[in-house]
Amino acid sequence: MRKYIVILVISALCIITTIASLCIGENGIPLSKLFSFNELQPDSVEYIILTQIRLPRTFIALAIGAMLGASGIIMQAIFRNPLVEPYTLGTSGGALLGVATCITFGLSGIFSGNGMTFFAILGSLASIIVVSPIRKRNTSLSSNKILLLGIMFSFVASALTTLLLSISTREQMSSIITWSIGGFSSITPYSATLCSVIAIVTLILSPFMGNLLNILLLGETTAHTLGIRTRFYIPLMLSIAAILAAIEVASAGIIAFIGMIIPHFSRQIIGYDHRIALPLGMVMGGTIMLCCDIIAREIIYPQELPVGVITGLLGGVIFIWINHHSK
Amino acid sequence: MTAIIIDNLHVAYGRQPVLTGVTTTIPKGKLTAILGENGCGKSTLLNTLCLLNSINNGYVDLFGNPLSSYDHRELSQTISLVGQHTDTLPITVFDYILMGRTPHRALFSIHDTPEDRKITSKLIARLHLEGIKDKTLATISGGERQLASIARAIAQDTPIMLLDEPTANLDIRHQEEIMRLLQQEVAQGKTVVVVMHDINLAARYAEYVIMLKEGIVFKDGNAKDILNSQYLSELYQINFTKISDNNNSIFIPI
Repeated sequence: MRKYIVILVISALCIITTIASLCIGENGIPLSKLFSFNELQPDSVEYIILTQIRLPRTFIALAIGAMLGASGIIMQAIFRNPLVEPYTLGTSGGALLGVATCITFGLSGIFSGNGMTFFAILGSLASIIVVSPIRKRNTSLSSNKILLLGIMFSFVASALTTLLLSISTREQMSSIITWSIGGFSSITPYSATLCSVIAIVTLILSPFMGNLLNILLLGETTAHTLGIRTRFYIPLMLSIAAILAAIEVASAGIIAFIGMIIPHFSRQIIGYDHRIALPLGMVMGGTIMLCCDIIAREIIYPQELPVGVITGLLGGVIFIWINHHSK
Repeated sequence: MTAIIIDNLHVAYGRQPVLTGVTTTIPKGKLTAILGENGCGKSTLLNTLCLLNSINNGYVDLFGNPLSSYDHRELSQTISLVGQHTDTLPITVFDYILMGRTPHRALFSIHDTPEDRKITSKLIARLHLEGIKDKTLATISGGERQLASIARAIAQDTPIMLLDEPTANLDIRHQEEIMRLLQQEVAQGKTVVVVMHDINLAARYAEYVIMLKEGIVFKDGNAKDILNSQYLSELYQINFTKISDNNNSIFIPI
């Protein structure tokens, strides 16, 4: 019974936050106009604001939060480590290196203008490829060795990114730094659509992935003896987590903390069963990201804070409070 | 009848050989104890039977079929393993034991089947775990966690159960409880293989013994033939004396 109440509350919060995001702004949109969207004139201010600015921004914030939440939950389940997050294996460092490479060498226009997304994903997956060769049969996946390799990859990627910054033009440097800060102020409808589609597909598949994650939570050895082809499924799930993180970085830059706190929140509120925790964690991640985005764009209006500032501050404070007050 | 045939088995960790030509058989429907010093390859042998380690050389046969002929799912329906260390996860005892049914259901299923839940409930009742079934593994004692691990392996319903030091770090009551539980499984026709350090526990419960020394089989055979002061002294490089009383024997290092 408690589970159904939790599902209802989280879903309701998501809907309320979405409505707030669509209504709140320099040009506030009344609820009456929002709910009669179909009747709005295409050349009206409200219609243009909604379709060109608020809807894409709202969807991408929900999608990004959902993707980071999913990636964090998958990583923490596989590594059985509450400090692991989507960026721990070097996925963000690799993705940023990919974006920096793309911008510095003028490759943004390839693949019909999706060069940055391509290079971000490439850089992110490179981290998995670097870490995985040491996973011989007798190496525990939870070992510090693998996590340290991921952290080292991040440092190497960061150093290479700095190198690229040093040889890039001022304009390129500005683009790269803007990417690294993380935010939704310059998202495009294409990015919003891509992230939304990926988030929705992941959300639909998440309950099915949940059972696999439950078994992997028992550790690689136990999962193997329970019939799980760990040498296939663990890299597969890590790749999914890495791709989600990569697309997130490619679309909105590096947004700290969401990927780490959502698994903690979902465990505290929903429990360990990933068949429920993963989809609800995604909804929670999207909701929290959207809340942070609303705060980021309004708190020092007319200027806008990077959303990562808000996610870090709020997320950290809430996380500390919950852990102090948990059983 | 034989459950497992192992012939000239070689296993190494990288360049470090661990099993260097193990040849033995494990009888069907009996409790077999594997004894030996630390580092002689006992755990490696169990892990190899589950294909957690690569086989460098040699042959393993399960119920007349080569180990290599089993696919992953078939192997998990044939052999279960209870490791040395127990999990302290935020999973309830009920759900933990239910996960033992994984080899028998679809990997990407959303719901637990009523049959699996019924099997789990019956097992919990049989093992008197009702009082802790809704508690998480992190909040129960070590002995209860070990019982839950064994219950998970029993739920897996495999004809062969492998256990790696299941009584380590447990008080005498829990040790006896676990060994009697394993005896019950043997009585139901299962083949149970237990890595043990407690020689006297092995003497009381094991029907067959395999002594491993430096990666090969030192002695193997019926427990009453193998467990004597001479072989134990040679195995552990310390002298033992045996004290017998009616049907019970105790080996004491001297």
